Amino acid sequence: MALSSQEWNSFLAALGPEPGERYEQLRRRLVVFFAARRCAAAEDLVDVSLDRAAKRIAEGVQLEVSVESYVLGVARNVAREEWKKPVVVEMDWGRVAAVPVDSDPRVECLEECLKALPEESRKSIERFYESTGAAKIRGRQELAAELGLDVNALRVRMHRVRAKLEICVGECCDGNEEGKGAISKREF
Amino acid sequence: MSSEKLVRQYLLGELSEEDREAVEDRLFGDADFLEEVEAAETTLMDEYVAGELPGPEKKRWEGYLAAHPKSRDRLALSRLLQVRGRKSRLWWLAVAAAVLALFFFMPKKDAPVVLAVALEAGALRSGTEKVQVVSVKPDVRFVRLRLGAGARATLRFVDSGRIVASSALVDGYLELEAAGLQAGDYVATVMDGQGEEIADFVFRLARLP
Repeated sequence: MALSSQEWNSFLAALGPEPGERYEQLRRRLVVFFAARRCAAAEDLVDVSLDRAAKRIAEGVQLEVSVESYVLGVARNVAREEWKKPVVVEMDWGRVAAVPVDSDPRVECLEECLKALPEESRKSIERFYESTGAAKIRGRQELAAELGLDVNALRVRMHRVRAKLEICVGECCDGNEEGKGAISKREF
Repeated sequence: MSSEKLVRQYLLGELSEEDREAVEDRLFGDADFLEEVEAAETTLMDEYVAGELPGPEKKRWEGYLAAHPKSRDRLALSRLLQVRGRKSRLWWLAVAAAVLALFFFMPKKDAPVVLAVALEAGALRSGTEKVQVVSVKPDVRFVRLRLGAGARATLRFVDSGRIVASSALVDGYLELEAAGLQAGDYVATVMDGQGEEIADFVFRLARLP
């Protein structure tokens, strides 16, 4: 059942300052949580968990832990319930990964979004994806050294750039030019 | 076990329940750790698309993807970035090949410029006869005159009658340093091995600005 505005506001209040960002992070955590537990339709279970936690908080439950830890407890219960249901998941991931690139409308959007990145970020991510095999490992070690990072920190930094690209490409494909604007205004 | 390896095993579903809960606790309590987990997720997406995941890991990762259908967009982006990277690498290889080709086939800056000219035997006389002109640019360091069969040749400056060069022919050529040749008419006389004159080649040397 959907949240009432009162329940929603109570939940946001419990998230403290900058509730939007904390809420967004909670969603990202929950998606990983359910996917790692191999629960089908992880995104739907994220909504179920957040709604259930928000209702309990609106009802006045005493939080002895952070909101995040409380939501984790709720999510574990949701996952247990989910395991009892039969699971039917049929997806041809190999086919998804092999989409012909030239016919992919995202190609042009990606080019536009790459152009909108700060130059250093653009060059870095282009180099990050330039090589394969042994050359990839060597290339990434060199790139990390040039940026004064270890390879793991480079991976996290490139993930950050890529996450912004994902938003930009998604919005560009939906015909929303603000995606590119958002990229250029953000810190990388 | 390194944090990176632990996170990878967590995403692949390879941890015990106890270890998995420990990772989940950290995932919900540490913003930096969330980013680390997502970066590992991106790495697995990249490896999956690149066909770099070994069979059992590939199967387990497909279990994660199946639970998270929206990840198909992330897979597509991995593929786009990888294909773009490969194209870029090929482009750079083509540029490198072109630069190398230029390096090997362009005249070297320090290499001497040689002017090679094939002359016709015969006399230069004023009036109606055709004059053979050898035009020498300032950057020419050597002039090679093709005179044909013979053992050696002498080159005489017509105005003064002075012999300015006398040397053996190499493959039918008389090679001269351009700096030693002033503008004017010359006669090259070719001789056989016994010193007998075989032919004269008359030409006018012009200095170009």
